[in-house]
Amino acid sequence: MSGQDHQIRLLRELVAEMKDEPTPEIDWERLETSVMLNAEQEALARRRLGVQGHKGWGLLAMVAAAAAAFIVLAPGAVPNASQPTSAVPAVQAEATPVNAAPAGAIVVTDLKPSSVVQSGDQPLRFTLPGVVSWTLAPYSRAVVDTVQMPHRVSLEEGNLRAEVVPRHSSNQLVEAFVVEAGSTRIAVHGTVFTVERAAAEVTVEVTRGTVTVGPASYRGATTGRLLVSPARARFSLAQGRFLSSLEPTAAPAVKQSRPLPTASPDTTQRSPLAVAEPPLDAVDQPKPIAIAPELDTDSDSPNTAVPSPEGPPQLTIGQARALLVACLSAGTTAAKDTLVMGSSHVTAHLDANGNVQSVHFSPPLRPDLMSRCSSPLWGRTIETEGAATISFGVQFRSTAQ
Amino acid sequence: MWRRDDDVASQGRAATSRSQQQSPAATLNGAVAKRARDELVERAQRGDTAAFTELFRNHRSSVAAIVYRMMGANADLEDLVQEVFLQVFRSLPNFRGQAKFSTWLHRVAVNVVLMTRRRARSRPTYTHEDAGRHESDDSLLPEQRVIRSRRMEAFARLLDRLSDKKRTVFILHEIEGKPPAEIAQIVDCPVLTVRTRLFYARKELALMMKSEPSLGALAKATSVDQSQDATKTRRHTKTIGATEPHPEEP
Repeated sequence: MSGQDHQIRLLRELVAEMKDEPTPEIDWERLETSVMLNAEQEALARRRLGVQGHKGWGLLAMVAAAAAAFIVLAPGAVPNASQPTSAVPAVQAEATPVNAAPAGAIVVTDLKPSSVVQSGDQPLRFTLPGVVSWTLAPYSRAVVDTVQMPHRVSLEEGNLRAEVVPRHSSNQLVEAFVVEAGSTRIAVHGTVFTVERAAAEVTVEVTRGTVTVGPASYRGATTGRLLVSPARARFSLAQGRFLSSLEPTAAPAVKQSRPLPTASPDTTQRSPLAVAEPPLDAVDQPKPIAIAPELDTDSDSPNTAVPSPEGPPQLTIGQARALLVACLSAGTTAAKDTLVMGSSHVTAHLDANGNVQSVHFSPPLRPDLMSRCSSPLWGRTIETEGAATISFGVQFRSTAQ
Repeated sequence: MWRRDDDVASQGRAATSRSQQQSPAATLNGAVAKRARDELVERAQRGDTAAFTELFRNHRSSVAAIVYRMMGANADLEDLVQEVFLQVFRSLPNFRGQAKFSTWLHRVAVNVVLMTRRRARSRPTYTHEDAGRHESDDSLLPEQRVIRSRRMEAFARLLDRLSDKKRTVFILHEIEGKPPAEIAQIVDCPVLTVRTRLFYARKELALMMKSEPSLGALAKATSVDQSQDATKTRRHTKTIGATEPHPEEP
């Protein structure tokens, strides 16, 4: 028998084996519910936009005419900071009618993808029911990239605070909500956090849960640094490189991204595209700068408190490593008669008190595994002298029971 | 297995002629079923959620199979199947009925998979446990299971090394058993191009198998057993070289 015949025969056998291989079990009921829900949401959004389309275009034309008239009559009066910097179309006409959504929040499915949203001197609240509600601080601007899951928002200026509904562990690989600031990507699965964009850096504060911060180029499964509450850290706008840890602020609040002008404000200083316009009588009365609008997003949160970790509060590096290895081994499942081994290098940043502020796995492991296994370290202190960065390797293995 | 595409076509023609010889009652039943399918699609196009649900239930398994064969065990199968059906929901108003609905649906599935693979190339991959692909088969001994698992992994690696075009055609034809004419509609190219891609996919796979150590060892092991019935095999096997390539594509 020639060599070619052997290969042909082998190829035939391989194809036959692959043909015989069953498709993995799928939870069809859950999938059907999810598909139908998303389809209905899309249909609803399409119908709404379709109905409002004509009204929206009329309104848009009026707004555009007013803005053009102002620009012609008062050149230079519009400050640069309020000019949209994004290349995406700043169409907001359709956002105005839905501003009257229940509880004052704009349902994001009512917006078109790539809509620019810009707040005036009041914060704007948005919601994707069942997934996330987020608030754009005063004088902030963002682009709503996608209106479905994963809901992605690009923060162009200012400050954004989000509360993501915790998801079932089986769904955690799918990112529910993503904020991009420059080339930095912040992905969350169930948490409360704030993102603030500055000229060359982005500050992320996690009030509850965990977020992953990494380069924006890795869409779909963000890799990078896990931040666990309470934590606050600076990252570069370019590729989300970790810069430094900061002290978490005491009260989570949405900060005003830039101060109101001290001179008598002109109504035209706000973008004509701003969704939330203050009442006319309030326009002439500038609001005090120091008072940042407090949000009550915590009040209706499903997680009311961070669970306190078990065991002694202070760990040695060896204990921390053992905790991680035990969790990683337990969280890794092996098929029958197989042995699964893994290794990663862990880098943890500690503040001056030895509190763990962030953990980084290189190479990254499964997101839910990284999140679950680093959680026992949150709230713990590790024996070090002052702020420090510790790193160690972990090797874990799992066999079928 | 390695029957020529002409064989497939002739079988198709034979099937057609058989269907033409069917009894009037069977023909009527077929026509009624086709009409019911068309009505279901039309209702879904008009926004009937129940009809769309019915379409989902009718076609979900075939879509899952295509996605799984083309993406492998590392992919999130449920997410991709969901994405396919959402794409179908979005594009359903544009379906003009020029092809069978299932063909059009599989075309959407293939496009979703290809887009996902394209996106995934620029992303790092997570370590995975690979528990999904090789589910334990109790009829095999543990050692056999391990060997089979390694063989499937090696074969999946080989398939991954094929270009997307050849890989798609190979999987749709050899694994999913679709005729070249339907594949041509799915991948939007002439039937002859499909045959050419199939020819080169087989040829490349046969060549690549030499470089895959686990498959090379397997080939050696099986060659001893196979030499006994080599004559018989030669008589019945249509060799890869028997299918002439079309000069349309290198």
